[in-house]
Amino acid sequence: MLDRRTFVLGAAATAALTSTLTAHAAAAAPASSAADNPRKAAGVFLASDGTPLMLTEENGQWVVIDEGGSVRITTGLAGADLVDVTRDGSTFHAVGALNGDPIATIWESTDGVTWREARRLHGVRSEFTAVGGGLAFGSVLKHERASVVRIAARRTASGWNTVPVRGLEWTDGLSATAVTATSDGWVVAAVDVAGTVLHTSRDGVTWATRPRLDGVAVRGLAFVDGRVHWVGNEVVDATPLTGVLDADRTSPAVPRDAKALGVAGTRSGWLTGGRLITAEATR
Amino acid sequence: MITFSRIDGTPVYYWRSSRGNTTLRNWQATQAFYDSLVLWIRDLRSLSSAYGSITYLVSAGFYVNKPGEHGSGTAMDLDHVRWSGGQVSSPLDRDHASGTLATRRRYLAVDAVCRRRFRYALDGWYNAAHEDHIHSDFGGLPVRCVTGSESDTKFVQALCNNFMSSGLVVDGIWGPKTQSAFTTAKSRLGTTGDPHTSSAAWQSFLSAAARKGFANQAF
Repeated sequence: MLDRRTFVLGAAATAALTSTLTAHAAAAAPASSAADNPRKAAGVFLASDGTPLMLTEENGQWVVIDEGGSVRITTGLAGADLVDVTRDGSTFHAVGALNGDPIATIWESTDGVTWREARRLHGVRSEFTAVGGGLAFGSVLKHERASVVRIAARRTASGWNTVPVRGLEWTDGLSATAVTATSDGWVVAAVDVAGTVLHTSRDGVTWATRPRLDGVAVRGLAFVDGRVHWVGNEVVDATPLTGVLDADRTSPAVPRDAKALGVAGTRSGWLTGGRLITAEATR
Repeated sequence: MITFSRIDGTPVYYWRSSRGNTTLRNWQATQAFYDSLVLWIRDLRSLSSAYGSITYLVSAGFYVNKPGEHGSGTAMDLDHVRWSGGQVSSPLDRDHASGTLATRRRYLAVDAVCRRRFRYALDGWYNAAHEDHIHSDFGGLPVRCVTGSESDTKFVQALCNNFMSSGLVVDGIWGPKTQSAFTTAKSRLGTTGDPHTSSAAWQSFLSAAARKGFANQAF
């Protein structure tokens, strides 16, 4: 149920995917055969060689796909319902929940292909929905998978540890959609019925409200050259948008149907026609 | 996903940035979800036919790029319904908490119609995040009344309070008082079968409740 996004897998992308799978992974699952097949994508991250990669599900397997359509099948993500992915130094972090009765879980990888479970929260229906800057955000869930209370875990030298969050109580019914580290803390975004609410924190525990972004669902945040850049889509017609906090929003040079996946390095990642494209995110 | 501006011919407006705006918008959803929306609005038209036709709907969103069913293009946030007879039901205006009984009953009627087609309908009683719209999505299907569901339980409790003066605490906990009131409601609405296990029985219960709600009649 918590699939982050459902997208149309276009015929062209399907053909490209089929071709690449045939060439590079004989054991790969067959490509989608229907244009209306839904596709789940956890997001976009920057590989060690600087290549933007999309972590996405294909026929029950999580794969990474680059802009050229090259596919690699991951390991270690069986049973995962991923919602977000990012790179933090030389380590990659993916978050979401284990399938079934959801259990918030964090996975780590050093190459983006081979993953291992790094932390799961036992004993409570929960999920993580955003990760960035060594901080994972999520929610404890009701039966209907609505958020009851927001939760967070922080990466330290000893691993991922849950941390309290204060100042977010009025948004407990929302799920985080993006988080990034800044020069003096973090910024976290969550989407409500009318747009995006934003909070900042210096210590990852106590959060203060920032001016909201009405009419836009923010999907990715990045701190570059002293400014916080965001990518997302309009709430109503899903028009692609990018911007800088406390500054203007702009329309990126991507197709109108492109869905924001996040920010990888200085580039924004978008899903259109079933394939990954990127655009300069920080101008 | 598909793009649409109307559901089965009825326009769907957006008022969150400008109340009263009647500009057609390009909403997105999966084809399967849109098909369910068509069934839903036909239910709504049929059960509220005494009000005339449905002039327009107002929504806060269908596909939205965020986690959950909205991000899958399988959810609707309903803000407002307007009929040709001049009647309205406005979750946007928190009609569930209106001081007018007829307004609350009409809200519950719309709520009931949503639950006929969507297993997870989150309304104004559910939590603060839904006090100004009714959320309906594809999760948890098929439809039925689940006593362990806070959403279902609060809906039944609110329904019994507003149509039978049951005096229940709307706490989402299905206890003996809620069970007793629900049994009475089923009997008075002529429901046969078990709404906890039978979708048909639950849908029959919801249709009967909706008719009473649109007619502003106790049961």
